[in-house]
Amino acid sequence: MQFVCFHLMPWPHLPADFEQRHESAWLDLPNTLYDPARGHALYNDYLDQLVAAERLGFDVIGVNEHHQNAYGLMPSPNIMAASLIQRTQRIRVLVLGNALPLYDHPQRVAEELAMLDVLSNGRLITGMVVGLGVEAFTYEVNPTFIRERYREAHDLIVRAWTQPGPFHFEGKHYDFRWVNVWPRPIQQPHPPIWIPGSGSMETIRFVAERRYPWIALPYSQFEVMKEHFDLLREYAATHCGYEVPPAQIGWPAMIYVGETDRQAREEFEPHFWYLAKKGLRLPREYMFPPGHTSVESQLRPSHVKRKFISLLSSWQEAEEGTYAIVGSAETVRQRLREGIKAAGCGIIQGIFQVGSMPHDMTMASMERFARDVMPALRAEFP
Amino acid sequence: MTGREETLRIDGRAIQLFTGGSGAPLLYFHGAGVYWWMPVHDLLAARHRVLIPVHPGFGASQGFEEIEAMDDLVFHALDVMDALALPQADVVGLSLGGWLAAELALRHPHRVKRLVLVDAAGTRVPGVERPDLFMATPARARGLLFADPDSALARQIVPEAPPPERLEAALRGREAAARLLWNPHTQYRKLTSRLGRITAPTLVVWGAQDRVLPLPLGEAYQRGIPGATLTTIDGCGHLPPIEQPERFARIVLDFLSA
Repeated sequence: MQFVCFHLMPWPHLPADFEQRHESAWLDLPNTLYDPARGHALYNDYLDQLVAAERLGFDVIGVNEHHQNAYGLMPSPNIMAASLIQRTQRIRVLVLGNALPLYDHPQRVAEELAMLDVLSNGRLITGMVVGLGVEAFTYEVNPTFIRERYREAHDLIVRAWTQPGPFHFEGKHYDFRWVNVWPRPIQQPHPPIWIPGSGSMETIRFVAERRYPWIALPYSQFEVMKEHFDLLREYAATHCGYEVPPAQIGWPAMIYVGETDRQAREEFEPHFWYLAKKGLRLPREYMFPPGHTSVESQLRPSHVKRKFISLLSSWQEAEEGTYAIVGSAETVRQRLREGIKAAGCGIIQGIFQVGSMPHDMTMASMERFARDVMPALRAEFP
Repeated sequence: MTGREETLRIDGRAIQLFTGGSGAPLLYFHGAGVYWWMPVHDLLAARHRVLIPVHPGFGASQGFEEIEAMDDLVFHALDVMDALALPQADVVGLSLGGWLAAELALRHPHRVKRLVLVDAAGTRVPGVERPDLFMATPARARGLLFADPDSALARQIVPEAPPPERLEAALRGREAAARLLWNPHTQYRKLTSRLGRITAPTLVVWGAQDRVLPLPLGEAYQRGIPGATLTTIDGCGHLPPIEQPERFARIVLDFLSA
């Protein structure tokens, strides 16, 4: 089992009347709501939390990429990774960006990730993401070309890392006569690639064919996520001729460990709702621009059944759907144990800081998790 | 009277066609949201042979993969005219279809006898915002598209959710529309600067309350195309053939019979 301490770096200071005044925390939320001085302190807290994860015994620390929003303040995850690399010694660093289709120059992504790999002496794990639908608006990228651009950019980057340069990459969307990345990555043949995804058939096929670890997205029912894991296993078995090992399946879970179940819920719940109702306030039309998710995927029953976290109306509903794992150490252990068995996963991507959760509360939960939960699960799921 | 549905084969791909009436051929290029025979087409078919080829990716028409940008759709339109044995036709285009009609008239002047541009996409005027329909909820889309967003017609054309049997076609149609309309700023700029090359007699028709493509964008067509005239329709939003079919048909038929 690999334990990831993952961070979204949200903006926790949205006003109480935010929902009454704004339709979205993304794209068109006025950036005057961001305060750079508070932002400075916040970045330091968030980085401290990830740096502490090394001492606490996590295997991986992770950052992600999102644009123009109050949900996550990392338009460039590579910058955060560079900072983390300088402040840690052994832990691996997961970059669950870069949103390849947003960029006209995938060579830049190949260069920056290779830099991080060399800088960290081979501690980089890299994601490659399509980007959320709303980010097609942000960067004015035609969403009907996003999947094609994603695949092409992926191929270009992997070839840039593995094939001696210079060479000419000839694609439909990208054509570079001089692919010749300096520096080259230190890990051979290239840094591990983990793919996060919402469970679209496009992504499931993509990861199954390449045997990449797949990290689900955390904001719908556990049951829906599990169906996607089953779909991946089934697709790999029937079309790619192999059995997906647990190491290829990642469960992203918001986790909060308190002293008691009751106290944990009381402490956690306001921050959960901040995330669900504020940070993830995102109109459907922003989320699903045409072409971003294929028609085939949109018509699948699991897509229809999925209840996005922002639509939840009660804590009971959140609990029943396992949107978060919250409780005493014993409860969290038990719920993770059940989930790991059901999901068949070998990666737990824990999200500890949620919504508006302050630094001390986050650290206390992480300490309890590292002391009272993680060792037991390691023993049970080596 | 109502339109017949036929299938054209173009390069092995099925293209859906609605047709009706008799007389001089009138090629109607539909917009991004309504790609079937409507009451306005009956009115036009009283004097013309009306032909509505459904663009690739919309309705039952295949070939979406071949369309990367407007110039591909222009070549496709030439193929459609060839398949229909139409050396030349009067062309009416609404919104997306208006952009296509203008590009066709610009690039292949001998194929367009007279040109009617209806709340047509394709022009760019600095400072004139074009609200993004892809970002709009159904309610907001009705507000943008119709002078009377609360009418039964508006709710029928833009329902809260497409009926289940139409869901797949609606999703595919949105994709086909986005392929061409997502971010065509450069193409609009170029077309706007080239309008002086259009030689077909041109009528520009615009809904006075068009909030999707505001009137200054229609005025840019009228200013740019030599000899073009502009007629606005009051009580009408982005879709004159749909929201004001009688007045629209009269204006178009008068122009084509002059």
